Amino acid sequence: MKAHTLVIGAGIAGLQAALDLAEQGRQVVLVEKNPSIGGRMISLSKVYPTLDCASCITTPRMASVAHHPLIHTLTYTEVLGVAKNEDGTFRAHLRKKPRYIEEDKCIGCKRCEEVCPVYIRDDFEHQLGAKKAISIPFTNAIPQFPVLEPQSCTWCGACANACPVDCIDFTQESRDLFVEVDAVLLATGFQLTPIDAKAQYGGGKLRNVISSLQGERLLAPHGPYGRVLRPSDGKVPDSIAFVQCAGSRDASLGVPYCSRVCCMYAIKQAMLLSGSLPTADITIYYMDIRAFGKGYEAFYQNAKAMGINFVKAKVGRIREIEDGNLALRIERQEGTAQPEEAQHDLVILSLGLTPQWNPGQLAWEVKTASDGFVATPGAPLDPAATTQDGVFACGTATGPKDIVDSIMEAGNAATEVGKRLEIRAPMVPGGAS
Amino acid sequence: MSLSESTKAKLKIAKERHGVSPELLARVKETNRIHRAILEAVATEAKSVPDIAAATSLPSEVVFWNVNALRKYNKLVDVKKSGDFWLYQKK
Ligand SMILES: Cc1cc2nc3c(=O)[nH]c(=O)nc-3n(C[C@H](O)[C@H](O)[C@H](O)COP(=O)(O)OP(=O)(O)OC[C@H]3O[C@@H](n4cnc5c(N)ncnc54)[C@H](O)[C@@H]3O)c2cc1C
Repeated sequence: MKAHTLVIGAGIAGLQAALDLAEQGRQVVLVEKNPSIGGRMISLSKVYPTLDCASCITTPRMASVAHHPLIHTLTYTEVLGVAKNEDGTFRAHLRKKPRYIEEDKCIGCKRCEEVCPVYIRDDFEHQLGAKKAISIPFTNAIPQFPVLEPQSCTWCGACANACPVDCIDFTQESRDLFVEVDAVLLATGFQLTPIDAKAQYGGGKLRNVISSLQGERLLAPHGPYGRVLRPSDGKVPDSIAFVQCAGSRDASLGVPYCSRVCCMYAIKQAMLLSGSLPTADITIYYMDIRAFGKGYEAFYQNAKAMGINFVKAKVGRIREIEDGNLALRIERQEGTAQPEEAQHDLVILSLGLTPQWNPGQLAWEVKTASDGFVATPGAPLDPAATTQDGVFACGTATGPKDIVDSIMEAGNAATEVGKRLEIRAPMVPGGAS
Repeated sequence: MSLSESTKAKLKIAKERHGVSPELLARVKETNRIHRAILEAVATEAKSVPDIAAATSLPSEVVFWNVNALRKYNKLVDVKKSGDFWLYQKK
């Protein structure tokens, strides 16, 4: 397969860059390791600072990518290697993982999922919800194909029996593909620091201590519980706390930097919670609030005006008390410094952002910076260029940032890739090169 | 409808290739048992998670996760709120 550009990662940054390149008339191969495109953004509830519905903004972009004639999207596909050819082009080795269904036959009817007898934890819901051993990843996934997880399958055949188009293929195997391109764009995004990284917060052990991405799912319209409830017993929480910097600005975790989005997403979630649960007490324990973008300070002030309780304090330890409630040992940073104990029904840890993928593991000269994100030595004037000529990067692959900045960087990266392509593969009138 | 011979042959190959662990089979059995117990508890009367936990002697977090699994796949519904909890009933 040949194309002008290989875009790795189909989160909002990769989607935007792919669309911009295709609009320039360039052929794009977009590779995503997950079964659906959309990245983190498609799993968010609403987005700050506008409080627009995340999936209402992301889904049309996902659909435009999926239907664009110049974008070839490969989901559920891994990048095994990328090598630079002598003429400056790149050869990528990709592996399409088996879904155990024939994609050209599947009509996405979900009959297989309905009859499957095996219930498993749903990664999309960050383990809060259930799915089946064969299931469509989420309601607005693109493409709408189910994936069968062989390690959870009992091979009972119920799915094949129910399938109206006979598309289940139990013996499907992975397929290797090779793509030749003129440029590579890394948009491989971020992951959260592990929830159990700070043992004193009890994440992963205490039933009502959840991550910020789990918080997003609780607030999402199609979330795991259909409304805001706490995991231990389905109680409507009446007192909810956010613990800021629970995975950032902490050298002991190897994350000494600020993750840039946690203050704002916690304020957003607090506002949304106060909308869903008007009588609940909502407290944000913070070191300092970093509301640096356009309209962000006003957003923060609105949250205060809505009655969100901002407490400048360090949280030392969280423990479970009776009925799944939580006791937080806090040390205020203003006024009295005496340690205090505060009780809440539910605690959301604002975990930090770390890189999702290290491209340096491929045998090529793409270096990462000391924080592990893709190094862009020319930033801020040239934020897309990496240490390898012809390889570009954008979005959270290069460092923590929000959606607006990720989209802006994606647009810039598409322009930079376009400049390289203009030299290597100039467009001829009519659009082809 | 029954499986075609070729699908049966493919199933056999897949089973040999991937195997089925005894832990997985035990987990499926246990989930079925939990689902039966929950559905029985809410067959005639809507109940909250703590009440279902008391009726089934299951931990409340296990009940809640499985209640939502059953809700997602249309086997039970949340009918109304009572105090701090929602009540669930068999569909
Ligand atoms: C809890 C939370 C709430 C947030 N809320 C907001 C908000 O309200 N407003 C806002 O502006 N920002 C918010 N953000 C930040 C926002 O999520 C990010 O800015 C945005 O999602 C970054 O997009 P991205 O495309 O760079 O990365 P991602 O969304 O992480 O996408 C990267 C994609 O690359 C894929 N990928 C990774 N490695 C590979 C590989 N090797 N091969 C193939 N594919 C690969 C991944 O599977 C993924 O789909 C929030 C963040 C968090 C954690």
